[in-house]
Amino acid sequence: MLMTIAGGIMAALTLVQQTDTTFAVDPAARINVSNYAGGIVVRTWTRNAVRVQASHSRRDQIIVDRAGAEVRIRSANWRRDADHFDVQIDGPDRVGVQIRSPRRPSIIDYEITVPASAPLDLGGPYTDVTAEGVNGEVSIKVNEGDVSIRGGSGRVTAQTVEGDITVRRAQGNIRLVSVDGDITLEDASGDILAETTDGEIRMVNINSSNVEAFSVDGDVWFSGTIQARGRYSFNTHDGDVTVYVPRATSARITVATFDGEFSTDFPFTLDTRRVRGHRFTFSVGSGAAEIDVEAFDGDIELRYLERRPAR
Amino acid sequence: MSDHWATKLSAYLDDELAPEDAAALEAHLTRCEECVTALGELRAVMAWADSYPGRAPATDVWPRISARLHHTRGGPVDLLNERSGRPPWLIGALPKALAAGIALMAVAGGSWLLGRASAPAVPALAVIPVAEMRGVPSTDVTMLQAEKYAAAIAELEMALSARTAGLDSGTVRILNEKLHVIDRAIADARRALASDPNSAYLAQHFTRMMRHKLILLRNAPRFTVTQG
Repeated sequence: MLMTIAGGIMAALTLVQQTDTTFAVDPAARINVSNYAGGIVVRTWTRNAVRVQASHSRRDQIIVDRAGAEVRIRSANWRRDADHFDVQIDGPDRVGVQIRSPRRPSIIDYEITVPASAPLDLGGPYTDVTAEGVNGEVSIKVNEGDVSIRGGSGRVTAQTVEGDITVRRAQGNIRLVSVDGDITLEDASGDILAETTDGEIRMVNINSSNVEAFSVDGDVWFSGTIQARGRYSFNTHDGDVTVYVPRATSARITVATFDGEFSTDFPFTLDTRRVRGHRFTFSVGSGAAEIDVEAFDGDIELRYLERRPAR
Repeated sequence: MSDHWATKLSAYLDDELAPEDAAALEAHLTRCEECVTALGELRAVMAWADSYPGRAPATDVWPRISARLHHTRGGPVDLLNERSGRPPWLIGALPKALAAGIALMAVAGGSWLLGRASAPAVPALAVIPVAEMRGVPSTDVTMLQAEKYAAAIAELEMALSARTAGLDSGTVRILNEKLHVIDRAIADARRALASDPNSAYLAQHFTRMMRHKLILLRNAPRFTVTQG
């Protein structure tokens, strides 16, 4: 049972339709919210406390489980961590599959207020997740639902199977992965990875020395600075790639396309000795940074940042 | 993990990196868990490949490959059309072992097995000892990497097809749809590569699509399950 597993301070609340409770926490406590379906909205305040407001059906219970430095919030009817299935491959003839069945699902809309620096671990199968004004680490994982983050530092990760991801004002190690959805990242800094199978990637006002954007089927759009020894990779299979960087950029730029056109504001002379198949390289400035731009079936534009259209 | 580092892992294990590049990678490994994991997996695959005795394929396609190679002098070979009506597949002038591996890759790369009623026939694994590939052109090395991905993809597809009842049907549907998107991209890249077998970009792009599919398959079991 959950009570046994927790082993620490624990509170179980049985409420009808509305839950509203506030309790003290360490400001660095990790807040873990699992929701089967509905929504999770997390906001921050300066108090060392967590307020949980939830709308749910009469038959549901919200459990707040505090174990060590972690606070877990979820429905008593469903536990995210109880329903994975594991595949273990020991060799060509030994494949094991273990499935742990979930409990009865529930639909809940959460509004949770946490200390601004609290690390967050949020998610569920059918839930939208919004985290506003957070300062700490953020990890969000949903199957179907949109993710929106404003703020976040350190490790900031978001994963959706089907849903859009929007992140603003994050800094640190940012990893945004969707299978079917668009990814938008604005006003961000740090190491950045954005990857989607079917969707567009849009990065605006990025300050980073390490950016990787990849889509199988979708456009890739970037505007930001290029740092002296930075590495930047923009890649799509089926879509256009548009990159806006400062006129004074100093970089070695590699462009590749199978069936597309390349256009740029930068003056350059193509060194035919460096053209190999569908890929060529040229330098602007001293060429300290590395920029790789690839669009298998799409056009590539490399533009001056100063010419970037208004948002 | 960026592609910049990912593409160097195999060369690192083969001691093919320049000392400064190897040192840079080792420094990167101290702060990138994903690369450490990928390196471990790659090392395991290579070790397994070196020790794997192989299995007899259901159909020995090598005689036909060999015959075609003698006739085509490196041109594209429509190998799979002889079996399943699938699009032509590049064999070209690659070494025998690599060609056999790519034939397997074509079998494995075009299918997604989640949700099937019964497990499919096990694809024959023709894993190539890495040692055989030393000294071959970089494009071929890239293709070898793709072949490794293909073998892993085949295994993962097989494992997932064995039991999918625990996965939510909506998630399975989306994953299937998007894996078909990747399969189409793989097919595009494959055709492009067939038209220009010496293009390093196309070989790397093809490999990248394969790797993306592998990652998606590998992550599929981690997606939340919503029904028993």
